[in-house]
This record gives sequence, structure tokens and C-alpha cells, in this order.
Amino acid sequence: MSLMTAEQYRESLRPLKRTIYFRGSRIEDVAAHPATRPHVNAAAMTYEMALDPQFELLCSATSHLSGERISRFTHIHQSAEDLVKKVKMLRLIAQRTGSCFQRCVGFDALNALFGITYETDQKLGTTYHQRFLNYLAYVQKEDLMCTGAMTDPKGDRHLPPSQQKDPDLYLHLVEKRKDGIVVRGAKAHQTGAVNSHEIIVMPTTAMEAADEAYALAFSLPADAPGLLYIFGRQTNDSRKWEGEIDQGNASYGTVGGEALIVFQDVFVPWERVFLCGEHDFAGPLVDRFASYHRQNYGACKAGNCDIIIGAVSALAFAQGVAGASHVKDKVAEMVHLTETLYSGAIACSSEGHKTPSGAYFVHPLLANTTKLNVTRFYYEICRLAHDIAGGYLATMPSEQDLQDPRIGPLVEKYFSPGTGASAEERLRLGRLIENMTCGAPLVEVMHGAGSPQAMKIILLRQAGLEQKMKLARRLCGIEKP
Amino acid sequence: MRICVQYCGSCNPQLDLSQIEEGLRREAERSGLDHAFVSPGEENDLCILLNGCPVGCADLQHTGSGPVKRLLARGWKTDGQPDWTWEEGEKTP
Repeated sequence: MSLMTAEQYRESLRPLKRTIYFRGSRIEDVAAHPATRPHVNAAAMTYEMALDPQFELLCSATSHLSGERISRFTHIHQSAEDLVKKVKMLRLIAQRTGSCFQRCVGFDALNALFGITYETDQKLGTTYHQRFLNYLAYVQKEDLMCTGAMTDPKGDRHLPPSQQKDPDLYLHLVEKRKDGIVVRGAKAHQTGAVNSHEIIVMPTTAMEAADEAYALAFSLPADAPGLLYIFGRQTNDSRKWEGEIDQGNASYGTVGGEALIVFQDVFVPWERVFLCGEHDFAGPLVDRFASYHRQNYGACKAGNCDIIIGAVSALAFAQGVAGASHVKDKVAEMVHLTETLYSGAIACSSEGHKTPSGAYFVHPLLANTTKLNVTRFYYEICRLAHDIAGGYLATMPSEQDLQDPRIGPLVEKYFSPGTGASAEERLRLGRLIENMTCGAPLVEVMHGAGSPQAMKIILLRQAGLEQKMKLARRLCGIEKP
Repeated sequence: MRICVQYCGSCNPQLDLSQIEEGLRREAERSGLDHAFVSPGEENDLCILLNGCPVGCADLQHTGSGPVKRLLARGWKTDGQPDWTWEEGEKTP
């Protein structure tokens, strides 16, 4: 098997015996449970589009290992063109889901580990890369969805891993055995964790020698013994039990469906261990993964912004204000911001380069700039959407009231815009805008792929301030050419 | 005649290129042409490259030989309206 259908993907999740909690109860079937079903549907879109002839040039690729057709989400970038195709694919899928489809995290983890295991071996004489290649071949052949688990709970942010009062606040080594290692700790905010087949664990920060026990990278089947998932709540998630309209996007939900993964003395066989104590390579692995992941945000968020712009424009038509100059100006501004995000994603891809392993890597300065822009521009786009939509976004009656035989006619009368559009159309557009611009999506664009300060650290590191000062000194006559 | 249709990847949301293929299939049926549609990579007598914009990703991907027709949508970047151009000839270098 090299490519699964969407339905095969859904079915493949059912045999996984995982312990998933949500609001104090177990989730047994993530493909059917109302809390997780939309996220499964969004991930399933990645499978569906890889098999659609119309999209296969973007959503699938040729494996450099086997020569077989595989999902692009399991592909190692072989050129800058591959990096550009990734960006185009992400925007394309986001335009169909209007939410996170989660699979880029594992994609980026695979690419980051491909390069870093090679570089670790080159420097230290270890054999991680071959292990990783075996694992990659398995993932590609089975078309598996991987979640990339990086963020530790961190405890006191002022302290490094080895100085935390509770050692479990960063995932760490408990025991080395002949056949593998035992690990304990947790990974937070893990997108797509409950509907992935595999978990790929990476360290969360650069480390010193004292943090050796925390410098770990490995993979696990999602149902490995000792793993426990606590699925997070989202804004308005109880609406998933109430009907369709008030969800805004009933099919695909909002953001990615995040979970805390708890590792309770979990055994990892050596063939799945890709870093174990080589603390010098923790920082490079984090940087590599983070830059790949920050590249994405200019693409998938642009796709989501396309939906927001579309919804706001349709609403402006429905409400009879599409021709107003200030509305057109605001929509133009939303387009400008969206395309600026996309431009950054394309730029950091086009300027990608080959790494020693042969895999291509994005331009890190441009990728981090792109993600930093996302933390600002998405908020501004949402502000403009709220401005155009009007206050009813926060005061709309429920779907039940719309359908109630006594209240419904009043809702229809007072929420119809009088332009030929129905109250239901206006409410549906409003709920979609609410779903994509309020609550969880805002926090996600701020902190997903790292918080703004993490990008600024890379920006300062990559900016070449010495050279910039030299240029300035030369122009103003302090230094002679 | 064995006809292959190669899509560019269809990232231009202003176009639904699959409608073009559907139209081609309907027209081939209607005309009574002895034909079969084959997958990209299979032997063919005519390869139709469907490009949604002037970047032409289907051209870049196409590696076959023989007759090629390119359907290219131009103009959408400047006036918002697709306009269709048929081009015949060998594979673009």
C-alpha cells in the first residue's frame, strides 16, 4: 500500500487501542465521536486529494527511497520546487477544510529528522540515519499520519530541563535497556495527536550537557502501551452536540484538535530512537523543525483567510453593503495581508537550499518572518472581518430558535437583510466567520509553530546585524570603502 | 486514440479544471472517436496538459513524448477573468 483513500484512513484509526480522555470520559472511536470527528474529516482530506488526478501533482510525490507514488506529507523535499509545492498544497487543502488538517506537523518532523540524523552521524559516528530511513520507508509505504510532538509542559520557564523541581515537566529518559529506552513526561498542544497513526517526539529547546537525559528523538505507534491522551476543549465545542449551523464549520471544525500526550514510562525500541543524549543536536533539530513548520503558516493560514474573505464578501453582498467604498477598502486590505503571508511562504521555499543529507531546507530568516507576520496579520484580518460583519456576530440567535415554529418566523423577519438573502444564509455566514475568527484560531496563529519571541530569536540570529552596521557606517562616512 | 490528461495540481481556486476534463470526455463520446482515456505515465497518443495559470506546472511535470496540447488559463492575475488558450506542439523545454 502506498496511498490510502480517505475512508481507508478513517477505518485505519479504529483498530488503534488508545486511552483518550475528553471531559472526564473515554473516546473510543475518534472517527465517530463528535469532538474529534471534524478533525478526522480534515485530515482525511489530505488522503482524498492525494488520489484526485486534479490535485495529485501537488498532494502526492515520488519517493526518493522507493520510486513509488506517495503522499507529499511523507515526502522528503528533494528540491526547492518541492518546498514550493508543499506551500501550494497547504493553501489548496486549507481552502477546502477552513481548518487545520494537522498532517504538516509530522511532515516537518520527518524532514527535520532526515537532515539532523544524517548530520549527527557525520559528526559523532552514530547510526541514527539508517534507522530513520527504515522508519521513513515504513511510513511512506503505509501512508501513515504522524504527529510531531515537540512542546513540553516546561514548568518554570526560567529554568532548563535538568533544573526543574519536577523532572517530568520535560520528557526525559528513565532507563536505557539492551533493547531500547524507557521515557516519561508529556507533550502539550499536540495537533492531530488523537487521529494519527504515529507519534514522532523531538526535544523542545536547545540543551546543555546537564540536560542530556532530555535530548531525545524517537517515534512510537500511537497506541503504544503507557501513552495517554487528554483531548483539549475549544471555544464553543459543546455546539458539536447541538446541531449544524451554530458550529460554523460542522464538517471540519476549527484549528486542529489538540491534546496533551502523557508518556507513562513508555518503552521505545532502539530501532525507533533517533537521538539519545546528543545534546548538541537538540537545538539544531528544534530550529530545523521550527523553520519548516513556520513556512507552512503563510500557506495554510492564507487558505483559511481565503475562506474568511469569501465569507465576509458574501455577507457584504447579502447585507447590501458590498459596494460601499469603506467595505471594498477593507476587503482589499484583507486580500493584501493574505497575499503578503503567502508571498513569505513562497519566498522562503524558493530560496530553499540543499542540506548535507540531500534534503532541501527553507530559508530560515524568511520562514520565521512569515510566521511572525501570521501572528499579526491574521488578527488584523479577523478585526476587519468583525468590522464588516457587524455586531450580530456576537448576538445571533441559535439554530434551535431559527427552526422553532413559534420563534423561527421572528428570527426570519428580523435577521433577513432584505436583499433577497434569507436569515438562515446570513446566520450561516456569520457562524462561519465566528468559527474562524473568534477564540481558538486566534490563539493558534499566535502560538502554533512557536510564540512570536521564538521567531525573533531566529530573526536576530540570522539578520546579520554586523553587516548591516558596516553598511550604515560606510554610507555615513565612518568607515571607508 | 489513447488520451492522457495531466493536471498542473490545480492550486488556482478561480478555476475548476476537472470541468474541462469532463467536457473533453463528453466531446470525445459525442464525436464517436475511437478513444480511451489513460493515466499520466501510460502510453498515449495525445497528452492534454491542463494548466490553471501561466506558471504551467503540468508542462514542468510532463515527461512523455509525442503530441501535446496545452490548455492554459491566462489573465486571471490582472483582470480576474480566466481566458483560455489552446496551444499545440511538443513539450515545452
